[in-house]
Amino acid sequence: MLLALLAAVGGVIYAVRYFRSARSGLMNLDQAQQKGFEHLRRAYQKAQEILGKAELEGIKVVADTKVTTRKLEQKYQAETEEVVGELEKSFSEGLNRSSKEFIIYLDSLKKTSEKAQADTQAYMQSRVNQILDKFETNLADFLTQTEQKSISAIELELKGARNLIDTYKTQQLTLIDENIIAMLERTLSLVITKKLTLKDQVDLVYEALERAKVEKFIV
Amino acid sequence: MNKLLDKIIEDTYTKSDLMRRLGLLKEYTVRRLFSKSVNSLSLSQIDSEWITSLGEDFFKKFDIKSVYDTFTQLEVAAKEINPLTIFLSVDMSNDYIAQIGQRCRKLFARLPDRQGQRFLIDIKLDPGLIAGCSLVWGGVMKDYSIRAKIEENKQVILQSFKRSLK
Repeated sequence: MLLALLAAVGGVIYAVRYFRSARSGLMNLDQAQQKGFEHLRRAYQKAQEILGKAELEGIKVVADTKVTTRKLEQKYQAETEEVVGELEKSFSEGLNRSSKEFIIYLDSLKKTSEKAQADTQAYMQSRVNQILDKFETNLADFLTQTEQKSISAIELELKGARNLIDTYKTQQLTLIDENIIAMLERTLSLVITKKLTLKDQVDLVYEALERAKVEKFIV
Repeated sequence: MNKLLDKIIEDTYTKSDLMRRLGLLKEYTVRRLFSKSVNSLSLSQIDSEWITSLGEDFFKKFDIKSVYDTFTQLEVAAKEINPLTIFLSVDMSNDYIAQIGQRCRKLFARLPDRQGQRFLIDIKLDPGLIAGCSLVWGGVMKDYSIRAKIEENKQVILQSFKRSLK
């Protein structure tokens, strides 16, 4: 197409130059016009031929271009498809590889996690066992101490209660003894007052005075 | 003055009696000295007999000038006498009290400072003694009563009592 255009422009330029040269030369105007018209016609025919050729060429070029383009497109598409396929393939391979690696990694992670979980569990278990043992020991000690304290407190209370009971018993027995003595004194005072004469009473006083003298109470 | 007091105390055995008799004697003596009449003075038979028993020589020792002083001295001297306090379980007549007083003077005749001759008693009543007496001398008491004996032998009495209950 471009060539055709260039050819057409070249023909026009030639015609113009010719006309210029014709104009500038002092030839027979009719001949010159006739020649010119002849040349013009030829040029025109040439130009038409050239244009035709150019069109043909252009069409050809266009067709070739289309074909080439189509081929290129096809090739491009094929290559693109090939590349895409290869890319897809490599991508899928890579994806598979990555998946596999990822799966392997996940497996290893899983194993590590399981191991860590197992270790943690074992540690927690041992720790819990330690705490429970310690708790059990402390609880046993606490219960023993509490028991001992309770027993001591109860024994103290019992001792206090026993002492209280003994004291009360002693007091009551003392009270009873005193009551017996009081009853005896009362009985004697009632009986002796009636049985003893005044002379007997005076004799008892004499006896007391004798004892006072012997004991040197009155000095 | 001592002889006068001794004479007065001779038949007086309790301090209360002594103070009472001193009062009576003082009144009697004063009337005798100043009014020459003692009939208006009302005395019991015992007191009257006692005054008579003192004798005329006793009253000759008093004169108008010194009678009050003499009796004051007698009262002071009488107050200074510390009697033996005897707690009895029964009330006794004056005769028995006199007998007890006489017995005391016999027993304690050898006390110093004429205490034996002027020994007086003070009778008080304590029915709680049951029988016998308790004596108080110089602020110290000694119980010689039946009650004290019961107290001394309380445990023995209680034991025999409890044995008899079984």
